[in-house]
Amino acid sequence: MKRLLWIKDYKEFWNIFNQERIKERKKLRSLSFRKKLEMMRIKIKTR
Amino acid sequence: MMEERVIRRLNRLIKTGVIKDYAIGGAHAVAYYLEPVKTLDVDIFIFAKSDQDFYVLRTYIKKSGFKIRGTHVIMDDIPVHFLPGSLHPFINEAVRRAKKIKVGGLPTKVLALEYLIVSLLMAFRLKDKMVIPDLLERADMEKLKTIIERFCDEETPLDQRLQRILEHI
Repeated sequence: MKRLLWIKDYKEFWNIFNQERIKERKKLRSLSFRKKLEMMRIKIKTR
Repeated sequence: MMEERVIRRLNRLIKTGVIKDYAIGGAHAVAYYLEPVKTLDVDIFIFAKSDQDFYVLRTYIKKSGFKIRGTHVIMDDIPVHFLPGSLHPFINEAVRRAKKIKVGGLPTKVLALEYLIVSLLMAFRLKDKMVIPDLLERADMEKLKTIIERFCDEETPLDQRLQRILEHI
């Protein structure tokens, strides 16, 4: 994500941004259900 | 972990005969198949053939002194939304066909992917529509269409709703 800060081209920015998002989502999907529940709990508590 | 306490409690309710069976649905079931998503509650599908079946759970909730906030029962600090099968036959079938999983060693059930998609097609709010395409990628389309055919009616045109989603993928 760091490299996003240095990109000046609009198209390139969104291209990298989308790639990074996909990577991030894949990583989150591979977590155990227990870990996912833990992450969601914070959201319930902070509403 | 608090969610585990809720699961433990629900498992105990099966053992003591307060409920016949249950399965995790909603955003937590979506998170099981995809990534964690924002939610305000835990949706629990309860197997209940009649309102009398659900009455036993209602009595337990009342006797146990759980706080009720709107449509939620607050269990171990978590707002739980119970959906009894007496409301719609789909709920009972979804519970019966739910996937057996373990959370931190605790046995529980989560809606099978195709049943989860149908439940989201039934609710069909913006947040439901947003996650359906990703879930469809992993779904057995034949199985999904069979379920949709059985529970589709004029009020809930599940087939049309699915079609609308598929057109936008």
